[in-house]
Amino acid sequence: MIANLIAGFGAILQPLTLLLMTVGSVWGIVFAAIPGLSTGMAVVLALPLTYGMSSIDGLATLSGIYIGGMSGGLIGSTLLGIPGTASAVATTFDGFPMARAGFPGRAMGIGIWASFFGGVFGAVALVISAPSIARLATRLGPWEYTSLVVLGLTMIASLSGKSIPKGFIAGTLGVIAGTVGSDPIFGATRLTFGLRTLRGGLHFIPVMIGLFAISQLMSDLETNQAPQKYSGDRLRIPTRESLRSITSSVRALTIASLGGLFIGALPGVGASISNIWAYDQVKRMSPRRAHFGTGEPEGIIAAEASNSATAGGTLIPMLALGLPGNPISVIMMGAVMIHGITPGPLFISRHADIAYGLFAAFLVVNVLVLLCQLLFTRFYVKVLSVPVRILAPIVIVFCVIGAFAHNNRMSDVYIMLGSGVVGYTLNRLGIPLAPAILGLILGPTLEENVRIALMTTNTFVPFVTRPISALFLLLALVSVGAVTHERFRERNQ
Amino acid sequence: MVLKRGRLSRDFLIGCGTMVLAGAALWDLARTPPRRFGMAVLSSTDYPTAVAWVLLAFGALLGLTSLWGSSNFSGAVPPRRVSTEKRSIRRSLPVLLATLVFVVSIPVMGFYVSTVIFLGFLVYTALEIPSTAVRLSIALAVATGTAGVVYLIFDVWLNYFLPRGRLW
Repeated sequence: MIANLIAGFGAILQPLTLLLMTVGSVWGIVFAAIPGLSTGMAVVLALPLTYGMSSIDGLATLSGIYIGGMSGGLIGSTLLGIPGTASAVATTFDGFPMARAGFPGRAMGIGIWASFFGGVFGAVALVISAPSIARLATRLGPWEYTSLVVLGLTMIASLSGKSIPKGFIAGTLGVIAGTVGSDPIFGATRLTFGLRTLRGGLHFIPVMIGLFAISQLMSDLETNQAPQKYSGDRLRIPTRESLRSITSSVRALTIASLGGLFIGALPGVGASISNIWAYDQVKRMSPRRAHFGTGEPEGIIAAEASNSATAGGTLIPMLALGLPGNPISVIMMGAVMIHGITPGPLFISRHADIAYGLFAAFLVVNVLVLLCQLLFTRFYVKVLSVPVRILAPIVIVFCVIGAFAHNNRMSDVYIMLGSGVVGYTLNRLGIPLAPAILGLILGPTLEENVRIALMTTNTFVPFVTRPISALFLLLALVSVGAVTHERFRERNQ
Repeated sequence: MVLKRGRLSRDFLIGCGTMVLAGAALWDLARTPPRRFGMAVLSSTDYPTAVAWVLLAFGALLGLTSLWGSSNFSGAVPPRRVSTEKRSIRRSLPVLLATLVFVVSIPVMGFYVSTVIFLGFLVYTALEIPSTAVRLSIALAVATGTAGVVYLIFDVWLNYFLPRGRLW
């Protein structure tokens, strides 16, 4: 493992790769900082730029965007009181009061450093755990894989949004959309409704660009947010003071990082939940709990360390099992697949150069994001003043490029636009998009494994008699049961 | 009664809409000739048919729970949150329509010409500057600047040619 990791660092520490990661980091920070844009949008829009790059360069760039996005959300949360992304909601609770009290630089500094430590923690955990989990996963057969996909879809469907049936509708819609076009085993076309455009199937890249970027932009344009101004004085980041706050809150940092990592590794649960969970836990355990919400450094540390640790956590199931846990890891998985590699249990052993290159990139990019945050704070503050209605048309142009560049087909652009309209409609109807996206990407895997399993044994019985498969199915049932119970309890209260 | 209750009636309609979608999928699958070879237990249409039935079941579940909820939980339904943000489809719809025109015009005018017109128009309308000349200059600068940067990145650096039309 050490030799592979050293080789990975060798591949990453090249001038062009470092430059791409730095540009990616700034891109991610800017997208996450501006309320209305998101990390997912940043990653999906950068995807076409990676087509022409080597696998490692492409993944390193996307890692920069992902980590940058996780960290960048704190800028809007701290300086404006508006979380740039859902993963930075809890940062607002203490970051904004501290900034408003006249210490914006300190609030930013604590957030940036906490984010760095959380990110490094997540990256180290990824490097250590993913290869071991992948080795165990090589023993899984089509029955276990089917049950694992069912577990992932069930968890994301029951945890996303407010209504469990709506989550399941979204997930099933995604799975059925994944069956449009050619059958993976016989090549027969299905569900095309006689349309030639659909014969090639609904590839997840144009669909994801539409669902992520177009639908979100349309929703954001509905709320006419005024451009935010912020005076740049007092934005100097006091590094020593920030680090002193971090070192005096090691317990908060550890709890938040561990929680973020674990929550990130669960399918369907991501940084949007981990930051609030960590904030709540740290607040409960802190002797200064009464000060939370008024600019307490531990509050900022909890939120920022947890959301950054989540990034490493989400990539563990994606790399080790081929099961992306959240929409951003779906895009990362898509980026790997564009280069002809399918993530799964054999990915790390067969493509060690790419896997360990990605691990090394994850470690290096945390340092780059830290530097980009510390050096360019004033630039991000300026970008915050650009209203979304001016940025939206530019983002749409990049969406069109992204959809077209994938296969050089205008039909993909039409599919992207159609998906955007569908996503916008689902959004307005309160149907979560994350299960639909995961269903679309995991649908073909589910179909292939179900059919292979049935070809092998001709019966469904092994799904419940093989212990690991049965365990996954049981966990799926338990997760739905637990969430349903919780919702009923909340409703009756 | 179901249709009168805001949130619940919407869920009921979503459930019905889902069932219609699932029905359409089942109808298309029923008229598609299945393909099956050798040891395969499932034909090419069996799996999507099963998924469509599952979708139908979830649609029915949502519809039924909204009906059940209206009679059993009418007193317990939390009050609607009053949003302080004013949302209006009037702001997003013109952009969506402009995007539609932009996409349709690409095969005719080419990507770059369409981009300049699309960006120029939307940025011009989005700017809140009284002077027309200044607005026009900024809109043109943003439009041509973006198209230029895209050209340099894709056509020149990556050798990736974006769609040409009859104009360019």
